[in-house]
Amino acid sequence: MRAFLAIIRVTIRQTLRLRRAIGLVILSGAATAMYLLIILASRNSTGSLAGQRQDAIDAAVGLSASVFMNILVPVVTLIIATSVLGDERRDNTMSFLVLRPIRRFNIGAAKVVAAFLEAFTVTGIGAASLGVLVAIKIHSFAWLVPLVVGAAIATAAYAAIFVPLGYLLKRATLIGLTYVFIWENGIVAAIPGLATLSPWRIGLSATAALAPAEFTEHIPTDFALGSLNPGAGGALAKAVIMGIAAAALVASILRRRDLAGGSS
Amino acid sequence: MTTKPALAANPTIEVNDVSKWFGQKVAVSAVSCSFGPGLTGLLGPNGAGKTTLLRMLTGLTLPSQGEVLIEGARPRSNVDRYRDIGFVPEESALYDALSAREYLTYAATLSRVKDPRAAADRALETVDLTGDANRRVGGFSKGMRQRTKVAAALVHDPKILVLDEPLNGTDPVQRAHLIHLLGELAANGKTVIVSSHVLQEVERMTARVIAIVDGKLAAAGDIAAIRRAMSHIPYRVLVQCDKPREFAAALLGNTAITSVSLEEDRIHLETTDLLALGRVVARYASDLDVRLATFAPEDESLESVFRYLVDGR
Amino acid sequence: MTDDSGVVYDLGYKPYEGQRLGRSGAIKAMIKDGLRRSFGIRRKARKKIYPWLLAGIAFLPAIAFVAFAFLWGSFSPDSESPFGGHAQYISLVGTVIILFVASAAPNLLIPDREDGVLAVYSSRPMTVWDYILGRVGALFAVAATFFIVPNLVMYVGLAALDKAGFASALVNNLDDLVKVLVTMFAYVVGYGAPALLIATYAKRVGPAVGVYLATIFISPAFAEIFKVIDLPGGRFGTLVSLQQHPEVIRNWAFGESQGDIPMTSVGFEPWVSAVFIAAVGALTMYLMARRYRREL
Repeated sequence: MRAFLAIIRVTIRQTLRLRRAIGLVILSGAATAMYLLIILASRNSTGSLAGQRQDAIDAAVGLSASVFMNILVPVVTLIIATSVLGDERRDNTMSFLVLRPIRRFNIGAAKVVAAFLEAFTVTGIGAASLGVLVAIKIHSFAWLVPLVVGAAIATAAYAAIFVPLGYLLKRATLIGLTYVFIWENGIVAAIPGLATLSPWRIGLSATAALAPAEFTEHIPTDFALGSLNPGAGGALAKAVIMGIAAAALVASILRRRDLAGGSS
Repeated sequence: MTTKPALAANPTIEVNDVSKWFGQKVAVSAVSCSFGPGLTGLLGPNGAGKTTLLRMLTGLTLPSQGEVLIEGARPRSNVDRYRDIGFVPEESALYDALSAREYLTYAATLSRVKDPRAAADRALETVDLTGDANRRVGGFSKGMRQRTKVAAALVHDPKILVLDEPLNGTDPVQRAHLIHLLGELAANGKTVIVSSHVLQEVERMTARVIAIVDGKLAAAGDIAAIRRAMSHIPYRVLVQCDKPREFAAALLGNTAITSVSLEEDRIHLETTDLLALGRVVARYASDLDVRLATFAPEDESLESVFRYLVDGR
Repeated sequence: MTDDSGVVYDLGYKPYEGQRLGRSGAIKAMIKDGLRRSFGIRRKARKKIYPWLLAGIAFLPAIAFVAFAFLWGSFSPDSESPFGGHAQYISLVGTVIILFVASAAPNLLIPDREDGVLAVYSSRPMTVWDYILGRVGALFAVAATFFIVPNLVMYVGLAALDKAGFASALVNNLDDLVKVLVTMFAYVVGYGAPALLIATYAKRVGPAVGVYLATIFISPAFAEIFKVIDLPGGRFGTLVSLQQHPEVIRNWAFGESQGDIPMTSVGFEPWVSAVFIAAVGALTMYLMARRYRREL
């Protein structure tokens, strides 16, 4: 356990430097910034209170589904998760890590957990800030936890995909972005039946299950959920299974393949 | 007792007919040797396959053919085996964000040492980095980084130590310290394998070497014995005396000597039979009343042996 | 007794006595190197996949379109072709350019810093601006090629089919080519400058690509919000849409409707987008010079 926690600690320290963390938090907060603008603008609105409330909910759902979850969460997690093992390979520190009496699965699991914790620190701030603003606007904190939980599940699922990718491929970020923009936001959007293969939709299904009914009423179902039904338990299970599979994949790579390094 | 020089007595590591290729390039070809307690130098020119071989010894790279056994088992068969291995890679393998103490504590923690902090402090003291323990590794000089890597390999007190070019970037004082340290570790029964280009230092460290050229085992065993085994290459001997011209002229034409050359007061002799040459030189010196100042082989050094192995002259 | 005279033997070393090309030669060499890096020329096959795939997406439809027109007789490209005219084709190429510069700009700048090669450049008789012009020139050249080649194919191909005759069609449609060139500058600078700016400060290629794409694709959403909300000075917020300024120039050049583009919807004229693009380009060059003056 000590070694497991030590790997997580050092990984986060090595990959999450201050400047990068600040940049990623700003990126993650883009949806919150947009929502803030909407709130500031609506202060002068002359419509009815109920109408204003509906507009605020509409905007929150729209931003969650079409900016925060489908662009910001995957991009932030991609940048962080691909570096967790990718940087070890690039910096030639793999030999330091693997020549230790630690089970390969534990190394893989520690890396996936580190990627999740690091990425969720950033996406969680984004989700929480958006949730707080929504709560202030519609006078209900019922949205805060669902947004954060949905972001956590999506982040975990992306971490599971991008950690092994970062080790296996040199252009992992580019491949990951292709996956996000072309596969998830293009192909899966066109074929709702594939929604279960889209991590941000899995996360959003958890948000939809936990949030008040008005969230689901406003959601653009075909694009945002596809064939997925709202369900937090199912989403959490999927994320956990993906995490375990990722750890097993990393373990398999470490056991079977030549580990990157110099030669003479 | 072993009769083959490439095989160590009481081997800790056995390399059995190991080959490694990367696509079309054969990096290591059918190498069989073993390493036991003590210090063994692994030599070879750039691109010979030394690093590939070392990485196979530690399990970082899998052989394409053959097997490597550490105490009878393959390196990757059981992760607990890594408690007994310390590796110093050639490339930089350091976490720049950590201080030296943090880095070594991390290494000790991962190696399941009982008191990682104390082990880290001991390792820092061993490599003389206690004064810089709290400085970030990212700000270290090349020599300090090298010492940090050595410390990380020692922190868990492994039985086997594999070092790839550990003297790179070190100044003469640090080098002497490291050589002394490695010698002590070897004397304490550890299996120490050092790959290096600094041949004079390898010569100081050990008499047992394994030489790899073009991926193949070129020579193994005691340095002087390897030189003696190269009987097709004449020995070069330096003779200095009080009457160099007269002595050189007298030696010319003797059947035990294949070549005589005179360079001021230095006579360079070549012979295929060192013993016969010794007798001849002693007899002529006595007959001609010549006082010998020097009679020394010129090409029994590791550098000469290495040069003969690599390019055959 | 020693002799105090000396002699130097010619061991075969000869100093270079050929042509010295000067700073322009250095810049051209850097541009050539940049082109090779961007297209993966003389590199492993893996490095060629992405750029050549994008080149295929940019070039092949135009080539196919002209071939189609040759095989099935002439028709008016503006009304009947699946690609419309140059303006519509440019919107396809625009996306390709975004995807291309997202990867090319970081790969031109960051490896030099990562691999410690800047010291090699600084030991040569070249200035900071030579280095910047070399790298920017390479990106500009490749992105411009993506733009010019398919449009040139369409221009020449359709002229060959024109009933008025090839030469006449070339002359009559020359203004289309001018519009393509003007739009090209807007797209290449408008999309290339932010990519270079991010790559100037990013430490690794991967995050630079991610941040650039996220910024480009999210900025229109911000602009939309500024368009609909009623905040004092809010209309200036529509200018943050980095993705859409080149589109404004395209629509203006080809006389197309500006549609729902936020900055034109709130009343900004196209020249504002031109100034914005130029300002981003100038700021990028300034910041690059500042950064590299420290490094080189």
